[in-house]
Amino acid sequence: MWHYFIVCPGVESLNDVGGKVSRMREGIICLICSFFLAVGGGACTSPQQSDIAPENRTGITSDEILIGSSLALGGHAGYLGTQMLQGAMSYIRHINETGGIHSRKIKVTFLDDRYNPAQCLYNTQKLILEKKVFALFCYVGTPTTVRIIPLVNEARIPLVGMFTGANRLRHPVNRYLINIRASYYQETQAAVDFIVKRKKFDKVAVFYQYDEYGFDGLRGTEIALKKYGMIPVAKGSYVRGTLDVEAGLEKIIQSDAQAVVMIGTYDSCAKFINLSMERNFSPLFHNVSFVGSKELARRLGSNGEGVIVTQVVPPPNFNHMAKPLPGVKDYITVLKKYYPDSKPSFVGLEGYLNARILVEGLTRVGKDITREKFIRAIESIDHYDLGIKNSLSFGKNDYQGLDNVYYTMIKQGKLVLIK
Amino acid sequence: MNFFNELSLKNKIFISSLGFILILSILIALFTRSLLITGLTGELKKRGVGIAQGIADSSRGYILTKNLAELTVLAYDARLGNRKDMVEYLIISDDQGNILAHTFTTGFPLNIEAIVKNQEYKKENITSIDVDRHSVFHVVVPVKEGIYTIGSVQVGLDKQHIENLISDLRLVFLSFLSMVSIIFFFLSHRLALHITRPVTALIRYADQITKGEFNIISKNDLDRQIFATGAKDDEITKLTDSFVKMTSQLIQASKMTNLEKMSAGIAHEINQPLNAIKMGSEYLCMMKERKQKIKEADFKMVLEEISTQVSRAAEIVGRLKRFSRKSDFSKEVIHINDCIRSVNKIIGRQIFLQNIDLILDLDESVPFVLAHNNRVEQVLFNLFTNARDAVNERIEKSKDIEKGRITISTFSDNNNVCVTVSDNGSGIEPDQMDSVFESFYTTKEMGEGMGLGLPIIKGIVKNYNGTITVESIPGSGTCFKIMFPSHSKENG
Repeated sequence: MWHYFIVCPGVESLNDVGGKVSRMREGIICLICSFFLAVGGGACTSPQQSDIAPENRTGITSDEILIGSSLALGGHAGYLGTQMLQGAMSYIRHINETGGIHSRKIKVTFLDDRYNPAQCLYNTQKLILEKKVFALFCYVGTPTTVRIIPLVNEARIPLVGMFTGANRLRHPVNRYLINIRASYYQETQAAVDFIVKRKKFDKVAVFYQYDEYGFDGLRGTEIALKKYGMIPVAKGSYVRGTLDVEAGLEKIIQSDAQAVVMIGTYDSCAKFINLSMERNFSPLFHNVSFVGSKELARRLGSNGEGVIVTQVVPPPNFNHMAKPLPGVKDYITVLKKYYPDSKPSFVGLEGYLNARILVEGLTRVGKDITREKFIRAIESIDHYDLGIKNSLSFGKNDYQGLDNVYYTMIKQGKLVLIK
Repeated sequence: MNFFNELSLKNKIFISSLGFILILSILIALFTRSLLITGLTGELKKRGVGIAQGIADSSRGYILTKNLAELTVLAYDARLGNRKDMVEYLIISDDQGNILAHTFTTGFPLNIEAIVKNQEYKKENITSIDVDRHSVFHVVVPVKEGIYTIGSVQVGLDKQHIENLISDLRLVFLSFLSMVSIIFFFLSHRLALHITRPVTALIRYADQITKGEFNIISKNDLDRQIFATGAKDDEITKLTDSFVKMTSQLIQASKMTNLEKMSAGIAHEINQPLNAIKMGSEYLCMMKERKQKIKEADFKMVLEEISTQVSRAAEIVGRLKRFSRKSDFSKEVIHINDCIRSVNKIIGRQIFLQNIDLILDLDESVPFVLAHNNRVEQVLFNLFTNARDAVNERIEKSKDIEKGRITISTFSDNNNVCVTVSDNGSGIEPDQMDSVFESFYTTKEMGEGMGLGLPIIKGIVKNYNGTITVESIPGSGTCFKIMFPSHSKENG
């Protein structure tokens, strides 16, 4: 605005000068102003890269849609990856057999990362660069998935369905990271709600795995407790891959906690519960979904009675229910058809649901599939019924589908849904 | 250049200083830019080498074990966070130049394999290359086990990154320069005004003086106006002084010209008493020679007459002295009729001898005015002689037989005292009417007139708050009218 400002005093002082000179002066002032404008304008036109991604059809051929996945198929977490892949593949094979999506078949390329973040990164680079997949799908674990966020951002490739509730994959909002399950924050929030509201306990301790996953759960629990004006009475931790839970246990026993929110894996958590039972310390043990409920129940045996596990999907069996949930029933049906040896599991159901969303998104795009169109199609999914009494919604700034958490309790070695 | 020459002094100073500042600003901007580019480029290279060395140290073990996954992690770690803008790519290769790990996610540049293979990777070096239409500094750092090279880390540093950094800085810098330029815009404008004000004032006064407006030439006034800014400059002071002096001299010179013109008439005036004295003294001599007795009454009469004539001559000389005396612009209460009579005494007889009727039509009841006798007399003298010259010119040119006539009348008009000097002379042509009061304008022949008469008259009249106007019909006469505000009115 200042160049307008300059002209005024100049013109004012012209009153005593002849018209000719006045015109000349105006010309000079214009000249100077235009100089400043040119310089200023030049300064302002710094190169700006546009944020609009070009339409990308990588991985889409006339009869195939290439999907890539890097997950643990072997090693100590191999069970998770295998179950998840079988759940997902049973639905994808079902879709491929019934005509595919707009006459295209889904082809999933899966690489084993053995739950190793480095291998996961390497695999992902390979999938994007060499295999030229359209989208990434069904990743397992927090450290592995967090590792590949930069690649996802750089390649602008959608990643659908991760077996982790880590906050890092949800905040800041990233439209390429399409989460389906509820977050650890939501799980711990549900756990705290259950402990404080239902059980009226006010001494809550936290036992967590000393890594990204454990910290995430700890933060979630602390945030949830803060809402009730509470802080954890004790915090115990253990190092991932070890079973050194004693120190943490001691701290928690000393605090005389009424409930313990546990963010760990089945082996350490089972040891923790078994040890505390031995010492006649029996508060309410509250685990989150990642613990691996089935294995936890098996390891606890009779000690497991009354242990609570929050789940992001309903239990994949209908023995204890009057009427099976249709989504769960479909899962069990396709799993039996394509993987007759495999037993239904929470992880498998999650994989199955991931595949349902992938297929739904691809179907909604139509014939001409691009990555951006796919993400827009995912955003358009609103109140979608998966048949699990938990409607799924995405939105412009909401890339997490399911928000509800299920409470299950171990009763006689089985996980039972509680209301 | 013509354009520049046509500008006023103030604008010349203004534009030159502004131009100087602008050029200086641009030079500084260019200099700083080049400095920034060199500095930042150096810094970028240093950081690039640092990053590559860090990666090289960490990757040694993985290169030996060919752990591609960990190498990939290392490569990607180099691009974490802000470093992503700077590090375009990072490649880890083995000793054969085969790529083991890299950070290309979206696509593999066509020429990169060849580039990596052709690097002299045994020692650290930086080259400038183009990868995928991206201009980068390609940094190569060897990975050594003992003294032998087992591989290399090659980093591409984005040159665009420097450009972005500079463009940010440029914005800040240019705003700063713009501010400086704006300040200088005003400063130089003020400075130009400041420098040229005294000069402009001098020029204006010079113009006014040539138009005959002397009343502004009061030294104090001039000083105050010229040095309103508080500045003192010896040259200009001197100039002002000599200016005031010259103005005064000019008036005096004009007066002397008048005296010259008067000399014939004055000679005649003085001759008369001298003749009378001579006659008287000769009569007395003659009587003495004849030894005749002079009657007591006659003797007394002759002596008295001689005395009277001497007094008369003395009065003429005295008046001349008074007229020619240098006088200032001081004001006193005078009666305009006295001035007319006084002038009449000096020049009236001369005009009469040229066979021109001089008619005085004076209103004795006109009020007093605030002026100076000498100056007003000079004005009237000029008008008288102009009228006479006009009459003579008419008679000479047209062989007209109509007798010359000059009428001087005074009257009061609406608290003003008016004097008109009208003649039946040749008159003034309408196209010359506008220029009669201009300096050095004359219709007279070379050497006859100075052309300073009327402008000086106008200046004097204006100085006493009066006005002078002229009406004329060519061929039949001119009438000058002077108006002074009456003194009684001003007091009352």
